[in-house]
Amino acid sequence: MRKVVENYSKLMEKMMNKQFVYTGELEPEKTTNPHETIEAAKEMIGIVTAANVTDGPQAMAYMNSMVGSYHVLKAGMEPVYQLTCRDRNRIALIADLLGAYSLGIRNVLCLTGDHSGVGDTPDALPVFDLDSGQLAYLAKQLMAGKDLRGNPVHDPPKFWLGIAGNPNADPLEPEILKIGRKAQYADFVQTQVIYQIDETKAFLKDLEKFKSANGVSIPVQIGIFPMKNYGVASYFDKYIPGVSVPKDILEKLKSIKKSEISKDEKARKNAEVNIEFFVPFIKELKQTTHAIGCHVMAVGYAPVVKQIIDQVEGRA
Amino acid sequence: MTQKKDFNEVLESLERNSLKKIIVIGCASCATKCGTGGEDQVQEMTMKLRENGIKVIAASTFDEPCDMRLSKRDFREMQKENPEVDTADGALIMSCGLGCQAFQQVTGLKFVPANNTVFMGVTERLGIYHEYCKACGTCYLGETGGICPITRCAKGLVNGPCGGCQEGKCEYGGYKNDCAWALIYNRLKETGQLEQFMVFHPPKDYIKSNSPRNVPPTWTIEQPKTEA
Repeated sequence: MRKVVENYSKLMEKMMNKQFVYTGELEPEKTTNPHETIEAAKEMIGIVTAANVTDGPQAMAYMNSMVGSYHVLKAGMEPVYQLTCRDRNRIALIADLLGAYSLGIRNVLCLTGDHSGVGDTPDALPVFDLDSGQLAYLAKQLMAGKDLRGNPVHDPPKFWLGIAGNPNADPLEPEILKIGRKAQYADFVQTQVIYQIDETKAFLKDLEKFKSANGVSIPVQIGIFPMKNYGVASYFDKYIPGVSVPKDILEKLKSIKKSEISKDEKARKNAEVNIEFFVPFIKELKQTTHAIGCHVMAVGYAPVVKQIIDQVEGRA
Repeated sequence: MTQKKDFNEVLESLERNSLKKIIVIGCASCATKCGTGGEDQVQEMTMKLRENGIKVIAASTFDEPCDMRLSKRDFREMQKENPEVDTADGALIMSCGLGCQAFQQVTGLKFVPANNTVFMGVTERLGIYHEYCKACGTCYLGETGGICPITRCAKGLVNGPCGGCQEGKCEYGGYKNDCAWALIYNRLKETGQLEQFMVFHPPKDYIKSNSPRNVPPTWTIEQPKTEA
């Protein structure tokens, strides 16, 4: 008989109930002003269950993601606090995890983090005292009431812990084995963006055998990225390692860009391209795979994300 | 492995340390192999220093300046051959940081380094060296197909690969270096040991790589009690 577990977050509750769940993404930038993040979080309410708050993505020195997560929480959106090992040793990671829980943060995505050398402060000391799997292991230890050395933790935290996976990795097999190696300390996987349905299905199949910390086949959310316009799509295609946007989508967005129609009309047509692609993509995932949901990485594109999700869920 | 400092930096460093009358010391071991402290480089440096108004009393290439015993022996030899050596303000040392400091300990002389010490390396051929070991104090080579993840992975991960690997290359430095974890995977696959790839390595004990280290150890850290 399955153990009755208290749900720490809405994300956990949906995943535990095997409900297809959507998460969004928010990116605090190099600013002291949380306004944009808060507004973007508010826009996502009712569309996604939770939203990731990025921690210095691409090794950029941006506003702290714990603080960002707190702003998002206060705005009424459940955060998935992204925490990387790039900038903090295990003492700081323990401190941050305990602090995050005290602020009401319940979902944590454990990441190794992009190398500091690829960001806007390449002369920084890269820390990497722990890696993503060890961070998940640390968080589970804290939840069990002790730190890595067995020192007691008072009022232990309760987290729903995610790890990342990259279906575009090349070579792919070591990536899959690595996910399997760390899955035992995590509750779910979120993947990098992928547009190819067959590769997505194969990846999901490969992960099926790996058990999560709960002893079930680890739930996997597939990363998707609706593209606002041709510029965004071609940048993504060109600069995000391993991600390739299907040629026909790039062509369609390009011809919209070139067409002599109003800005609003272009936006409407771009949205149509995304809806045409993602609605069947997500439906296929829901109907034919064990994917637990989609992680939608489009920042600031909530209205179109809503249209996509509504159509998939038959609400449109 | 060492690399030459810019000559002007060497001159400025000599001036900052008021070294006008000096001896020049090379290294017949690693710095010779690197072309940063062999006999030829010592000779060339001596000439350039003289051209720039520095009085070089004597120049010699020690066998291994990093070995205090040999440094002491070779310095005594130098003193015997040229008693003026004892009047030197100090030395310019063309070895690694180890040679510099060992020399100073046995002679008490002021010195400036002519090289930057860059890493402990393997020699592919003269002029081509690779960093394969960081002396971390916990050797993983027996578990990683003989490839050091601490050194050869840009993040030093013991549970790789990370998401920064594409076509077997590492994101750091623009996909020029091999991803250590792709190499480890390939090696373990070749040797039929992929089960080792699945082993989760717990957080590394960095007490073993904290400096300064000595053999035999001169200090220990009281380990907090770990629960059974």
